[in-house]
Amino acid sequence: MTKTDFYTPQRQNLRGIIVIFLMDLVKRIRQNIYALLPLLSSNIRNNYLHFVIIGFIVLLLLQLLYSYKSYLNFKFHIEGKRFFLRSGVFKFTDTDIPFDRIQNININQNLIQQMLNVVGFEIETAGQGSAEIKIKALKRQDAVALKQILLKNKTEESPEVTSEEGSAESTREKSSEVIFKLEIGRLFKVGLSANYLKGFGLVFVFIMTLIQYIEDIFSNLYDVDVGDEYINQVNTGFGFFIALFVLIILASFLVTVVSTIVRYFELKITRLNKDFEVEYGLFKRINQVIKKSKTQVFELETNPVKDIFGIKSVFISQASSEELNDKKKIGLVGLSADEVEILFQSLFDLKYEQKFVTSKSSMRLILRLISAYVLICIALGLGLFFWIGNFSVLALPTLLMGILIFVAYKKVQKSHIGVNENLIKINSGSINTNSKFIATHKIQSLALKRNVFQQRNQHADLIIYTASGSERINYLKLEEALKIINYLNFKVESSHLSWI
Amino acid sequence: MLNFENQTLDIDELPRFEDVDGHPIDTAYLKVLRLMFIFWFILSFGGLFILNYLVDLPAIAFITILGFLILIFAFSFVEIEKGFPRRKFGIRQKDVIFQQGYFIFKQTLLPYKRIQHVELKQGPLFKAFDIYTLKVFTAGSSSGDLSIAGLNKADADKLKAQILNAADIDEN
Repeated sequence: MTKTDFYTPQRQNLRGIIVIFLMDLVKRIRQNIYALLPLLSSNIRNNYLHFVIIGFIVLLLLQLLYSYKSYLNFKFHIEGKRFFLRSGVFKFTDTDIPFDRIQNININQNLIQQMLNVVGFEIETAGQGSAEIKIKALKRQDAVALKQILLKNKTEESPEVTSEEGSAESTREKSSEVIFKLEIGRLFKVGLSANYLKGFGLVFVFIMTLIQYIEDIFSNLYDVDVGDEYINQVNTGFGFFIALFVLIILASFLVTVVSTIVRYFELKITRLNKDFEVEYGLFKRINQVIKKSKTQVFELETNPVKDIFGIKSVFISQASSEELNDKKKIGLVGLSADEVEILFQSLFDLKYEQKFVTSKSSMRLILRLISAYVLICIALGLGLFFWIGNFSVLALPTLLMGILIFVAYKKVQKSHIGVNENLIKINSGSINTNSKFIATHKIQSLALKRNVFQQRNQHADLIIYTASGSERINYLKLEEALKIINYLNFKVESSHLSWI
Repeated sequence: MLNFENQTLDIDELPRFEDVDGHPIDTAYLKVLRLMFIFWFILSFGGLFILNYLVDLPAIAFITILGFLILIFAFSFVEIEKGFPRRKFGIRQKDVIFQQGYFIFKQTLLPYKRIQHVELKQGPLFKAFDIYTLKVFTAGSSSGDLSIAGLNKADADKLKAQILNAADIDEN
């Protein structure tokens, strides 16, 4: 097979057309899934189905054209010590990344790419005004070759990285050591101890749509207005409501467990000298590198169920040019306490047992939390009351309010910040307990925020900005917050360590 | 009470950012803020009354929107008038401080060594009043970056020079 020449402008692999088309299609469908909702109505289906199909085909063709054009216009090459990319459909975007700005290179493969035997190639950079690059289809050997070129040139560029980077690449086989493999039994425990609320919203929408759909079918088949009957039934039988509720809870439980298992299937952590490589996923194998220098926040999550199983989760946030959301954190789940300690020690070069001087959030914070919850519950109560017209349904928002007050209490109780010579520890959570560890020299900037009430009662919210987002600790005593902010600022200014 | 034990330094001896006397923003910026306020005020209320005249909104909708607008403008009026004296920036040897806000008072502290780049901007309205916006970027999230609006030429140049001088900024 001929070697690909990266020094002249290159397109992606020819199969890229299909990959781009399918991935764009999936994205479009995901964005516009709500546009399909009217199809659930039989009336629309009977009268306009052919229009819908024609429209769908037209859209599909347009999408194919668009994807083809975006494949044609997507060209990349290497020139000097820079990576150039030109892309776009209607207008061109030129991206140009000097090698020494490259932070990370990820090669991954989703289901579509697996079927077509190509890989996705991602170049991550950090800092302002630089972009992340995603090449959707490359042959695996090309991807590996490109990665080597980019990293090799980078090491030549900056000698101080040589030892770390160069050896990590060349002696990869020798020095890499698998330190953790998530077996299926533990994976189940991770699923069981996950946060079910995440599945709840999804299931709620799904079931509501399903009910409407069933109603539709029944009224078609038997020519009766089930809608009325169903409403009557709700009016008389509170049991139905409870049953629905239980069903939703069960379903969210199932959805959460299954999605967690799919996501973290065969999680594997490999140590590469100072860095770690993580691989996980059932349908979409994701391969990410945790760079020691790039790590900003080390988050440890436990909850009562996890404690029973003896597992903990760690989420690593790395410096990123994009605003970070939860999805971009690298999740290392199902770890034992020892494994957490190993990770902590090698990422921070510090012992896991640390003493902190702590400052707690004031109980006044509970008023802020509850006032938001009260609004939600009142809205829910009014909504339910006008929908069903029965006072008994108000039990639901009342119950919810009770739970939320408990949650708010727990939240305030857990919220505190600890500071010591090298680290900041930020505690949060309600049912979960999350501890975020940040090395003091990773701080970008600091802020204090005080609303009108806090200006009177001498409290303040402390915000710590890092290259992977911000952390906020609410309602500290002003005096303590000032001490912490002055101390942290002193630590940043007197430290010679870089944030990256 | 908070005490940092096992420290070689005395926590009370640390420089305290809250004691820094800030420099106020140029009063021309207050004029700009008031001008913008009046512009939006006329546009919103004028728009609402014209809309009401043209399509005859239902009374509930009209009153709700009116009340909402009055509330928003009342708050922003107080924010502008009371908040302006609080807009201050401070320069220290190793960091820059900016504070602003009446309803929510925010003080930001940004060490020079974390600055990625600096930008001096001037929109058309600012040009008419000869004031500038100085933006200071870090690698952190954008809400932690500084954007000091309403500096006059002298202050803006001084501040920018100080930051460029002190910060080891990468010229990429």
